[in-house]
Amino acid sequence: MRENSNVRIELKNVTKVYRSEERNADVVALQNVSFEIKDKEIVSIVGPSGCGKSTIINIIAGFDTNGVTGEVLIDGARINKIGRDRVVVFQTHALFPWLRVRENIAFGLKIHGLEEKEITKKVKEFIESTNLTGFEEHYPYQLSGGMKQRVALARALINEPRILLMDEPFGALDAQTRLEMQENLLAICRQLHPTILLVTHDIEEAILLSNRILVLTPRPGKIKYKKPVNLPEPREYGVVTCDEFVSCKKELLSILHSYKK
Amino acid sequence: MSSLNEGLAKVWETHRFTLISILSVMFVLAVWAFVTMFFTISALIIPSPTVFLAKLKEVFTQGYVGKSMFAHISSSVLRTSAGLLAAIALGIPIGLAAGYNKYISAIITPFTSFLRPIPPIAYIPLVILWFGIGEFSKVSLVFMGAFLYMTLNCSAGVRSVPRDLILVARNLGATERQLFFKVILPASLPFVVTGIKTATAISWSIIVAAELVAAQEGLGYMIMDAATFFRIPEVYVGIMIVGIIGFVLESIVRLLENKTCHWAGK
Repeated sequence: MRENSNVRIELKNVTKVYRSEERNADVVALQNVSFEIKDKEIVSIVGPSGCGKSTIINIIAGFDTNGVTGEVLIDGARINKIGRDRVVVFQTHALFPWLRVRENIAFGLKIHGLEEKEITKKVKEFIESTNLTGFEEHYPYQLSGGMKQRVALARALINEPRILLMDEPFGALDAQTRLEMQENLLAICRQLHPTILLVTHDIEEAILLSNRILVLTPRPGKIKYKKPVNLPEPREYGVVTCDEFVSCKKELLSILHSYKK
Repeated sequence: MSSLNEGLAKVWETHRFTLISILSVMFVLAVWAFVTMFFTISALIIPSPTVFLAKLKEVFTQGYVGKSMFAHISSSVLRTSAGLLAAIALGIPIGLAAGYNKYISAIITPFTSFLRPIPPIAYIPLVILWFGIGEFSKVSLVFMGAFLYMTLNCSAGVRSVPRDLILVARNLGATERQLFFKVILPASLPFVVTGIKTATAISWSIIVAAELVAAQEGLGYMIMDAATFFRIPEVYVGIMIVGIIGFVLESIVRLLENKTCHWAGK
């Protein structure tokens, strides 16, 4: 019985327990986390550090299965392994340092044995859409932080994943670059419409980019608040001063503040 | 005049460290020349630069004890290369396998940990006992020293591959085989090349030591033989050639490193 056919990601009572050697005890990282994300929706998870935000990404990606109970459904089907339909963008960009920009972006296509001509064409397309023209032959170490993250984004998106899982993707960037990347992401979303789950500690980023925000409690992470964001579309950076944005920010800040001891 | 000064200042600014190195070498050479010229030091303890250069010329034109310098150098280099190449060829797959698979690592770690602190030249008597004083015993000695370092570095290389890179590859659908050849192998390359670099240096010093004990030709043999017959300038010449060739070998490996691992550590 599937209640809503355009639900893309669904978590039902997901709990994660891990063994902590130094405390010599089992630690509950996530407790009964349930939520749904609809097709093409952008949802952010915010919460105090160490609350298990990234764990949710790792569970949905299939990286983390140990001590996980509950159900993770993608398009109504239970997932049990890593899949190319859900691609993760890491905070550390995780580019292959020995590959040039175009080779990094082509990695997923190459692994799947796509024709060389087809790869070249698609890589060119994604290099243009992520503003990397002229840097095709560069190695990651020759790029700035923002450019590296754009390569990582292109490397993920070229595989046309239905779901993009982003783990603090812009967390290591300076404010100016982060802003550019956020606008870049919004532009790409308008083109490709992936479903996005974004983990961030930046409340403004969450409000600016998402349709909904989930707030996790401190460990054990539980979802206490689900906050819809009703901002005019298409999103632009200008919205950060509008009333809805400001009240949303106030609300989230007061929730997060109440978690401080 | 001032433009000359500016020019010099500029040369100093860009090349000062190279210049300092050159000056440092020249200073030591000058001290050597000065000491041997103005103090009565027997050429049997420290030969003067002129005696040294004359001997250098002599061994290269007339050879040493009936064999050309080329024969001595090439036999040392060939022994080293044979042992080193065998160690690289075997050490890379075994080291990578040990880094990749905890069971294989558990099998070989006790031996590598035990053997690591033993200097390979300690095996010389054993190797002579097992294989005689022929070529094979020297090559196997080099192999034993170099293989250990290749294996240790290669397995450390695999273990140092960042977890995120492996996750990215799996996420994009890499098979186990693709993961190994397209991620783990290239990511461990800097460690493999460091292994080759260390193994090369170790091999060269092992072969010279081995030739000191039992050989009919080679640079180690030349040094030992010259010392036995008190031909001290030849000892100095031999040592200097060992140093230069060791430097050349290291430069070759460094060239390989710059070519394949320019991205490492950046």
